[in-house]
Amino acid sequence: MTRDRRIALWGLSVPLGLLVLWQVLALTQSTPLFPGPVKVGVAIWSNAPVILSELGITLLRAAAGFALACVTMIPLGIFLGRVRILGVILSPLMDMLATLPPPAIIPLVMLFAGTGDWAKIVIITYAAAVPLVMNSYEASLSIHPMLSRVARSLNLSRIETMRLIDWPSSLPMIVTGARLAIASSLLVSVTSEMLLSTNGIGTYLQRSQETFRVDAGLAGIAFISLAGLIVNAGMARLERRWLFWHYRDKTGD
Amino acid sequence: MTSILTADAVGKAYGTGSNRLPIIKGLTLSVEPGEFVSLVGPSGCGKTTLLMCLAGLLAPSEGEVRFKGQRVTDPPIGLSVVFQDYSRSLLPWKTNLDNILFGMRRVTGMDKAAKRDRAMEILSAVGLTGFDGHYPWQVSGGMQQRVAIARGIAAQSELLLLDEPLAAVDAQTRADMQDLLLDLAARFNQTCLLVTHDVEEAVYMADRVLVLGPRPTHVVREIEVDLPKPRDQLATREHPAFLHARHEVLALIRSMRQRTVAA
Amino acid sequence: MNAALQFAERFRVPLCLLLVFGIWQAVHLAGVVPEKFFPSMPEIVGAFWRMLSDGTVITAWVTTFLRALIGLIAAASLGIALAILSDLSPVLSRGIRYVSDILQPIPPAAFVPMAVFMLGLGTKLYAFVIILVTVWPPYLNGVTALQAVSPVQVNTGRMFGLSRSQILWQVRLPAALPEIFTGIRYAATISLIAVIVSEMLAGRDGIGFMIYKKVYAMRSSDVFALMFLVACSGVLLNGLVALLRRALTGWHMRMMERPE
Ligand SMILES: Nc1ncnc2c1ncn2[C@@H]1O[C@H](COP(=O)(O)OP(=O)(O)OP(=O)(O)O)[C@@H](O)[C@H]1O
Ligand SMILES: [Mg+2]
Repeated sequence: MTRDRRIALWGLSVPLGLLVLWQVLALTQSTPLFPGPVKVGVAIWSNAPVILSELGITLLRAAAGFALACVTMIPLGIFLGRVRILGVILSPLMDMLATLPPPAIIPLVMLFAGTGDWAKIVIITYAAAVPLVMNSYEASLSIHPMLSRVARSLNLSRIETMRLIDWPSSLPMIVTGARLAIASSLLVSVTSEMLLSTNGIGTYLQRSQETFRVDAGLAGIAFISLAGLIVNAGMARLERRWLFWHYRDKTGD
Repeated sequence: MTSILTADAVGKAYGTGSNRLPIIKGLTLSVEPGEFVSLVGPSGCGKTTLLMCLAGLLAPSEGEVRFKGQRVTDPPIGLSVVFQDYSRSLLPWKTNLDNILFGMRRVTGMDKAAKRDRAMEILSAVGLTGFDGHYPWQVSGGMQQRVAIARGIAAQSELLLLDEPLAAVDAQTRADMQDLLLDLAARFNQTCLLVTHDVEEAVYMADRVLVLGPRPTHVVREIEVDLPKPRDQLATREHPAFLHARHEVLALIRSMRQRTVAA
Repeated sequence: MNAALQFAERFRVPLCLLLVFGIWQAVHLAGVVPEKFFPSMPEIVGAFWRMLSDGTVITAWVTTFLRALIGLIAAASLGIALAILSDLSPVLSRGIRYVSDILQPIPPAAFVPMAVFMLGLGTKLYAFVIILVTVWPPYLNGVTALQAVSPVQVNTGRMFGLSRSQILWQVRLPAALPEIFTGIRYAATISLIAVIVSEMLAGRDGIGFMIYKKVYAMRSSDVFALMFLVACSGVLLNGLVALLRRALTGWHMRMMERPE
């Protein structure tokens, strides 16, 4: 216990050392375009309200796109897994779309849908859709045949089978997809704001660049990082809560 | 004649504080050169742990282990182990032949070609001719086990520690492998310490059987097996000395079990 | 039913192309989307051919692809180095993990505007952005996989007299390599994202910049053609990773293919 604490404390020396290095580098450069961590710290303090409200908009859009993708794409993935022939035919398309970087489609959507909220949400939904559909497809393919036999021996209806057997047993893999989808939503949400500037943290970063406020921009980045940390931690908690059986199972093989 | 391996008042515990779990306590044993010694004991009593301590892979908490008079702190040259988890001890990115050559890294006085020839010879001795280019995961469990045994023998160690090497094979293969092991040990002049929970196997193979007690374990009895060599699956198993030794070990284990249940 | 499935399995690529092509043309002909934004397939192919023959797209593609590839190689090497470094001491491991926790959630696009001031518009910018976002998957997978190497394998190495560093190089790293490659594969996708985004935001060349330019010129068939090219680059980059993976960890791939 105490040893872990000591390691955690001493480990802090690595990020702190990097900060000191950065500060020294900034001091030798001595230009406002290369601020050190101290200046950024001050900027964090003074710009926090603006940054937080802009970041809120970004996260809201990311959440909307992600939710939209979840409700449409997870059922679609499971459906494709169940109706094998469709899934097989569409799998090359899924593989192809998986390698297409989501930010690359931002300009494309801009052509169709302009630069409003909906345009961005559509892009985010697309970005989140790819990992979700692929993982739920894979998940519904890899359900253990034993479990299907159990379902049949219990005389479960089609709907009951989906709800009681398919859904929980594909959950771990779908959650993996969801984790990728969340990262992707966040990435695309920020990027879309930078390319289609209206509001949000991406636009804030662009504005900081235009006004040469590098310190304020870096403060914005710090908050993005913080938001990501919180989302990841929350996700890990939920997984431990809902999927403990999966991780416990693993050791038994 | 000096002992090749001695353990003197060895103790080993896992964990610290309230989690401390003593596994071995005050265990003393010795193995003479050329001997075949069997170790039997109830499941979970600490046989694998003991073997790891003897091999220098785990540091004992008390007492000391000596190999050829030298105190063991790291795995010494001249000693090799066939692990209980044999399938995982084979490196899956090496072929069977390369796995055996890997075991011969410390063998001196042989060039590459000579080592290769030797490895092939041992492979055919364990009945794996033609499987040298296969990967361990391409052959059956019983064959993997033989690769692991072949690797232990190829290391040309004076002392071979075997951790339940025959636990996972069917009865007929098992009998064949027992004879193979005895044959190989005699041919390559190796001292062996065999862990097993099969009492008949322990008696059949050994010159001496050491019986371990429940946790925290130590040697509770030493039984000399006075049977003619080479052993024979039929004759040896019907020999009065075999039946006598087997009886003694089984009775001892039964009395230990009754005592644990009563406690 | 089963025969149909087998047929679909065998011809899934042409079938898929046919389906996509058909739906695309149907949407185009139905005219639900203005033609200006939704060109027909032949128009897209024509646009692709035109850009190919005047050579602009080739230089742009080479630039972009090389950036992504070199960035990926650098980031993967650095990631593995960090994983090995983490293996040396628990304190170092924890420290590097802090840094990765902080930096990993930040999208590549966010770095670009500020990095432009600190590093200029050239190679340094690309190197910085790509490595900073691409290094984490190989590193994280490397750390987990090195930790997860079976103790029996490590003990086998010790027994045959391998030193600590020999065990790392000859036992633990080969055992961890398949998992590390999973990370590198993921990193390949990220590397391409980082390049395209940087080119869109701060570039003067490359496919990302070209897409951006074409969008403002409202050349939708050019944009679609370039998107297709980007997807192909992704496939190519993944293919290169798969090739290296087969060379280095072929044993693992064949082991996994083995029927139970
Ligand atoms: N690394 C460890 N940490 C804590 N406890 C352990 C560890 N390894 C083994 N043990 C405990 O030590 C005891 C003895 O384990 P060991 O594997 O030595 O038994 P064994 O006699 O070889 O059993 P088996 O006959 O099943 O192979 C067991 O109760 C086990 O739970
Ligand atoms: Mg054991």
